[in-house]
Amino acid sequence: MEELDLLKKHWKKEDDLPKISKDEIGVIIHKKSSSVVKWIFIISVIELLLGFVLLFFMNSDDKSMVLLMEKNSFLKFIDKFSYVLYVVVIYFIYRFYTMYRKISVGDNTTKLMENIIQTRKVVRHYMLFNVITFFLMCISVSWIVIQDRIYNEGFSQHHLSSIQFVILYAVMFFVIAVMTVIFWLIYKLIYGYFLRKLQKNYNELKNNEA
Amino acid sequence: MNPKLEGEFVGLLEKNQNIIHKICRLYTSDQDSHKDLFQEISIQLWKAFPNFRGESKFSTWAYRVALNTAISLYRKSTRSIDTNDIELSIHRIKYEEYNDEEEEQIKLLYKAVKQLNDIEKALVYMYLEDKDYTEIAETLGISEVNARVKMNRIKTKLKKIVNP
Repeated sequence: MEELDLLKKHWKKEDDLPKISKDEIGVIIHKKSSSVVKWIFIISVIELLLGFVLLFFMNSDDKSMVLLMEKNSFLKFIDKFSYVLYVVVIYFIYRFYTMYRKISVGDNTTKLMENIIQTRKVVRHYMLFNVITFFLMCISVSWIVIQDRIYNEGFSQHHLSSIQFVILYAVMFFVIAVMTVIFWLIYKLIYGYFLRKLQKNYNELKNNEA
Repeated sequence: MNPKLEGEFVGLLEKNQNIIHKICRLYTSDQDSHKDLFQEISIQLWKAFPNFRGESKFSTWAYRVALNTAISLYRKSTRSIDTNDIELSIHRIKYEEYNDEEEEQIKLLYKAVKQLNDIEKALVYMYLEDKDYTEIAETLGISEVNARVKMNRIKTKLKKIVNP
């Protein structure tokens, strides 16, 4: 007899299975879920909010910045550009919401997994967009500010040699790069924890699929 | 959600609970995990119940949601389980009706099935429940050919584990 058919013989007997009463079921269904989707939702909302915080920091009301902005047309452009960023953020939130709504535990296994992975992808793209924007903004604004100090206040002649100036840039670039890497590692760790099993099962499922 | 719907759901789940216990038995190896997974599946079923439109039988819908939960959504919880909520005596397999050799084989087979991965366990579950390959493929969202290939591999794998 084939192994599984022998198992089937025992499988059909259900008298060794536990029995749960209606009252017990009534209690269970109101407990809190610990599903991966719930955690991904919570983390994603935090990320979306984080994007807003970054945007807020990009919109500086600092007086010297306002003055500088009047002089520098590029800074003026950046300031206007931040409104475009809000539109992009709203687009991402909309995409996230529609993708999240698509996740249905009643779908077939592949579709369910794909929808979860796609939802994650939207938030990942969103975060990538934010980090790149933040990075570019930091670099360009600080470059303009330093340039302004040099030409208007004789900053470099008195305080910084051109080598020191390069070092300043290198340090700034390095700090932002390290921050990005740390951020990315934390990210990998969080999602590795929640999605490793799902991704492994997805690959297993799609294995041999034409 | 309204009490009428909840009453209907609780009744259906109580009647069909064996489906979920069988899946929990495949995917867990101790009582606490069994209870935890049973709880998560019940929560998922209840959350999705308003979308269950009776296009398929409750039992069919329930086993699909249960498998999806075990494969994709379940993460072993760190929550403490209130043992007063569910009083179970699980993994108590009655072997009296089998002869010694067969009993040994069944024990070995259960052990072997536990060693399979999550997807293979789902295939074994559906095979043991006499689902045809069309339904197996549809449930997992893969092609029928792929389902057959996977099933044949599982059979070979089990044979190797049981008869090394």
